Amino acid sequence: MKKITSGLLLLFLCVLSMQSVFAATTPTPTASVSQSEQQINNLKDRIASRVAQLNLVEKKGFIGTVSDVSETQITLTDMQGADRIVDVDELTKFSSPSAKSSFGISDISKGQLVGVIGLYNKDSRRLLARWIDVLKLPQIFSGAVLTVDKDNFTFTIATVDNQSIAIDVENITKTNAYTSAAGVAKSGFSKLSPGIRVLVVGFPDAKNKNLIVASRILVFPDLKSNPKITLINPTDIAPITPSTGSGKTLTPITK
Amino acid sequence: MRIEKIILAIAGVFAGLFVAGIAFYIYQTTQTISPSNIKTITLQKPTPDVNAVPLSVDSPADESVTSSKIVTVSGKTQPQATIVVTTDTTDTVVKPSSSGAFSLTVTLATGENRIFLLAVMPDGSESQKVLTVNVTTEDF
Repeated sequence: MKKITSGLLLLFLCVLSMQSVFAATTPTPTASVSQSEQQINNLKDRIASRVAQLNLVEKKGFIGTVSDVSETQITLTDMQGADRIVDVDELTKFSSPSAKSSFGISDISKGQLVGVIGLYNKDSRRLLARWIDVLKLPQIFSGAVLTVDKDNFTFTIATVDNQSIAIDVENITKTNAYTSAAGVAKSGFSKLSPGIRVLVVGFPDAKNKNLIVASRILVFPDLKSNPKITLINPTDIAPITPSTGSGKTLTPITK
Repeated sequence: MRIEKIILAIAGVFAGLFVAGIAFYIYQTTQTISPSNIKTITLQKPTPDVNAVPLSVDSPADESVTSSKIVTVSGKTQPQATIVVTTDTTDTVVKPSSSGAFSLTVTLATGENRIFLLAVMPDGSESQKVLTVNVTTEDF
């Protein structure tokens, strides 16, 4: 009797242990369904989060002048005069045309013109910069010719905001004229006369920041100058000292 | 007796209000404001900018990032206007269609670029717009 009882007990223990092993290795259908549902929900959440993130962030880039700089942040004043905050991280790359070795945020200073490309957050209105480039862009002026100095190859223009800008014409300057009949054609300094509409693209002179060394001039003989522009008396304008291009300033010969 | 008291009370209240109203009117009419305290405010109508030329740009979007160096500049202005599109390296002049629409392609450099648009009417009035368009082939 004892033997039978111990045999039954052993059998019972074996069955119990095998059942527990099977239960551990083979999940029940209910558990499987709930686990896959959880995975789907997790995936859904991740997709929704990513979509929201993509909608909130867009690739953008703008140009501005540095008004403030810290280790992780640059404040720019953009071309419309608005303040823009740019965040910098370890992935941000810096470049400058004048940099000979490595260039970083410590080399960025107030007043520099920089272009920034990165990820713009619509919510925070901040841009996480991926590239920050120090720029040397030409200035563009639209206006009317005020005076022409044929001896020194200089002229002045008046702009819509009634600024008077001195322009220096160099050998490198490309002068074209646009007429409705001929389109854009090669022209020359001799075609410039007071009152004529012009578009000038150029860089400030190295020595005289008030003088623009023209790289391109587009003359519009057919188009009237803007009626908002006040064409002041040419005698009221100070004579322009032309640039030598080498940094030396020429003094006009007075007889 | 009670009704008489109520009528008298109501009459008293009205009489008091009447006297207070007259006193307030007399007080207000005797008040004078010295000429130095009088400020004349003239509401000026905003002067319409008769020289502004409508100029809208459909593409490219300002501050956009593109992978192509060749960009189509399109928009709308007055049909009589002349459109000048200047980049940092080239100048292009186009005339819009009879509907005022214009479209042209410009070639940009890698990095940050400015596109300067100028619309000039035959009378000399003009509008200007500056766009920043960024070219990069790198993914980020």
